[in-house]
Amino acid sequence: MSLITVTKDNVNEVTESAAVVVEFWAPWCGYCKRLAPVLKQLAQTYEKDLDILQVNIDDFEALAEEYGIETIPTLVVMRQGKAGKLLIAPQAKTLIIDWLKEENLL
Amino acid sequence: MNTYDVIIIGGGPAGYSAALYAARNARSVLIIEKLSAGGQMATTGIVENYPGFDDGIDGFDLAEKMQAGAEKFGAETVYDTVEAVDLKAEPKQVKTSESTYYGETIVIATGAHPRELGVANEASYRGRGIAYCATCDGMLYKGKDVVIVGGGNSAVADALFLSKICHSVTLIHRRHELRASRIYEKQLYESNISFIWDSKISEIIADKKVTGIKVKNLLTDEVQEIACDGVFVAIGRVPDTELFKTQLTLDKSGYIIADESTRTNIEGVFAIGDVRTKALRQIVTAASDGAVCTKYIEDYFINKES
Repeated sequence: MSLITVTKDNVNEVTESAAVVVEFWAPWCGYCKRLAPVLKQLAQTYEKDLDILQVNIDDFEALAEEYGIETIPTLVVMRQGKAGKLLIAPQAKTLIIDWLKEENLL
Repeated sequence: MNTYDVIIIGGGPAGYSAALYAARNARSVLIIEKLSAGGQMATTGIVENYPGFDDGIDGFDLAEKMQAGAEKFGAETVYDTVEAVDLKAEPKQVKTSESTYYGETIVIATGAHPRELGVANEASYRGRGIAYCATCDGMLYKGKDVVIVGGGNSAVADALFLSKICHSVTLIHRRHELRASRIYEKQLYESNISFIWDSKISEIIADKKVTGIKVKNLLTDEVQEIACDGVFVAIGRVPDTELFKTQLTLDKSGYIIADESTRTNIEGVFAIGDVRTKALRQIVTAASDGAVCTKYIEDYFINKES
């Protein structure tokens, strides 16, 4: 998995990818900071599996609203723009791994 | 089977302080952390009461520094969740979701967490208007309007503390009277603290940070909106001791019984930081415990050899 910052140039990947993990976050969110190293590690461990697109909700308000994001950090698996079960502020790395398995990505 | 001299469960300030000291005692050290360094400290925002940082330091940054310091001297970190422990086995065992680790000594640094309100968006706004420690974060709301939720000694002490700093303090409690010791009564009623009884916060109103709350009266169901800059939550703390309750002696609030020596009822098992029975739960006292336990770890090894 790679961590990819979403910009206006690649935002279409959020809705067009066959299967991708999207993280909604913001620079002012403390819990998002706590989660960042965990996502980096997951990216390294599961290199070949898939990517995490990181959406800063300050830059992409409309997108966050469209997917009903009310709390950050929120992780969601998008399959061609269709959102799976939201994972909100996970408390442990193992919970993220369990969720990825439930979403059939691992 | 690879046995570590010291296994530390929890990567907050207590855990990494213990790791630093143990590693510098030339011990093999493993820290098992479920998410990332820092624990409660990592989501605190700016820390101004850890000695040595006169401009304050972000809690998460301080956590990373503590981790880096311990790892520089050889401590290892694994990110995993502990599922079970056998503290009486020889060597002691720690089973995680991915593996089992063996240690001559175990240091429990799992901490505690403040009881949350349970309202939507609470996690996002932690450090941006929602706070769980008045003495830590009160100064950030100097001259501002805050509310505090709770009815016990902590809530009242915090409210009094905040009333000396903030423009206004409103205490919201779900009952009609406080649980707090009566010793506070006189001060409270002489202060400028206002009270909202029989109520709870039903919603947080926020943009990039908190701007207000909706308060619901539990008896009448009436909802009112109150503007505020900060919400302090003082409804109790929950120690993270589930894993140990059948093996270690806990006090009546669920904290591990261990005094200043950090020794528990099992030899070679230590409890440090917020998780143990103690008078003051702060980063500096957690770090202190981390260092102290390593002295008793050395004693443990010396006794074992003789």
